[in-house]
Amino acid sequence: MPDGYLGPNTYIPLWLIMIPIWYYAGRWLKTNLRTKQVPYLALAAAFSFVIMMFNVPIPGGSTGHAVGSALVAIILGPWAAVVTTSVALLIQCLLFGDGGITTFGANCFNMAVVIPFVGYYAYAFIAGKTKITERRRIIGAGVGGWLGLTVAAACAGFEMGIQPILNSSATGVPLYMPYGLNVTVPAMVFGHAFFFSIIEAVVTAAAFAYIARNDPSIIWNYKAIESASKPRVTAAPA
Amino acid sequence: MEKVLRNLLIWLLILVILVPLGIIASGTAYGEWSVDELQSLIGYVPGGFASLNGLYHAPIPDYGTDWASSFIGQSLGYYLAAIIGVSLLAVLFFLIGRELTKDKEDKEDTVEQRTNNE
Repeated sequence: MPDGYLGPNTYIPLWLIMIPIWYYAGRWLKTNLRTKQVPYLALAAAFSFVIMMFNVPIPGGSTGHAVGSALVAIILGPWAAVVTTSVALLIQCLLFGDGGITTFGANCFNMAVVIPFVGYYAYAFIAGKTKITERRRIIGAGVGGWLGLTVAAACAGFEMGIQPILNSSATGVPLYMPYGLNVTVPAMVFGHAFFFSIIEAVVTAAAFAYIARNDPSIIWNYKAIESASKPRVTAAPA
Repeated sequence: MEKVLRNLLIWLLILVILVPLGIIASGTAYGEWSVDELQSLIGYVPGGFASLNGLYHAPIPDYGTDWASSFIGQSLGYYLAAIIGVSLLAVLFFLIGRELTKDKEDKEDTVEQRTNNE
């Protein structure tokens, strides 16, 4: 979202919400990042940036893109994805003028918090206690990517759609985003659910499958997944 | 270098090579219309929007695509933007990651060994 689409009563709270989230995410990364994961962290941030450059046209003339932060959340942990996606969005905003300064908190909330957490928990829920290479886990990654981006799009649509209610002139003319919830939410959800989120799902599932099969040890909770998926040892018959 | 890391780097490189595909779509993303586009969509420019939009001028606006009108020219700008963004983030996070894991090396190795000996 560029500057101008959200009023101060929306963008200031979203900035304020982000501050403790960024702080905690930084602390989490310091505690949990392993030496072996460092190159993958760098790769994740670079990947997030480039995947967002692939604008995809959809019927109706609009465009959009995948974000890649569900994948980062599944591989390096949702808190790590908060950090990599936020900094990728910061570079987009400061260097390339993509995404506003006032709306930076909102953009980070939608793409660097909602996608990673919705994506990761949907994946974890579907994967259950399956082994790291199990098909159900790969499907979970795909669903996580799809749901994460779709819910994030709905959030962005909601933030824009409440503007006419929150911010209109005395004569009822909208001051920021002019369209209401009945237009913004369906428009955002449609474009994502049927197009961009599908790309997010495919990228997430494919990259997860590759990493899980070839070097699962870089996955942040690999040991927990392994021990949970071990068949329970019952007392051996004498 | 580890095989997985190398292959993922190759995929990243392929994405960078293919990045001009991202400018073929000519439309504007939903809710990202410019002042002019909004004017033609609804017939006026909302007051608050006008005062905030264009608040900040980025050094490389539109990912380097607005300096040329040809697809080739725009692709070159887009390549430049992709290379700057990707290398900046990769270097930045490599340094951050190395700093965060500075004192962890030994501890991790022993954990690794303990698991292997189990």
